[in-house]
Amino acid sequence: MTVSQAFVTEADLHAYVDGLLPLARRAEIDAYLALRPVETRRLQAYAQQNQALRALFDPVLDEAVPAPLSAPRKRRQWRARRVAAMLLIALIGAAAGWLARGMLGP
Amino acid sequence: MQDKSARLIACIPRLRRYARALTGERGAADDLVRETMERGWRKLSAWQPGSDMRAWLFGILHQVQAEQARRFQGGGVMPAQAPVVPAASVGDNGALRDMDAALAMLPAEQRAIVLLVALEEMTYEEVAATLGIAPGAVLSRLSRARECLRKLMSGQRVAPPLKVVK
Repeated sequence: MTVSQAFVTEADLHAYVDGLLPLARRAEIDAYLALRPVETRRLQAYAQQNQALRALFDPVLDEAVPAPLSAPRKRRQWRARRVAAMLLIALIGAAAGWLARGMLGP
Repeated sequence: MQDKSARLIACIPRLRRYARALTGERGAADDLVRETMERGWRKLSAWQPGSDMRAWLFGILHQVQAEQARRFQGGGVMPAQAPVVPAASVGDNGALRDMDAALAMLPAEQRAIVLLVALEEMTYEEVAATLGIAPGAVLSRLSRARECLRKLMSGQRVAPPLKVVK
């Protein structure tokens, strides 16, 4: 066993599964695992978990994105303002009509 | 600004994939992503160009989720267990169906870490930054989660996660 193999940590093993190790360190872990079938099976199971999760959820990436997510909420605010403006105009119209009725009435 | 918007929009499919896996349910996932995107659009001008937009956005998603969880607890209603993920693409594949069920049994904070690593291929430092926790905590939870999944998938009994009592 080389010196660096003696310092294989749990962090190293997870990083190995996730492909996060530099090439040199990866080779050291390969050598470390060559003599440890139980540990190798454990890491294979972890790698299979990653694959299974991607197989399960990657299809979501291809779903159509709901339109409201792709734009700021502003648009909806504008719609609200437009409705408010129309109501205001209607109100002014009604008030003007009522006033006119008062002025022109008997 | 155009570039920022385009980058934000480009993150949506990944947010949706992650939210679906995290919540295990389409409706809850859609709610989570909608709220996250509303905040994302609102805060977009505060995002620093050159920083990692994905980590920023996934961080927002986690804030939203934490708030929703608190609201749940405040209301006194908490689902006994995360609902089982509806078969997105499970079909007749037994291994995927098992993973589906096993994932739902993980404590939420462990599930988040497993998913950020497996789906987003984040480094442990990126996961720590996204979730606002120490890198050491990422590793210990990842380790526990993977071991738990391995036992569940091989049909071993797993002690239910202990509730933290404050």
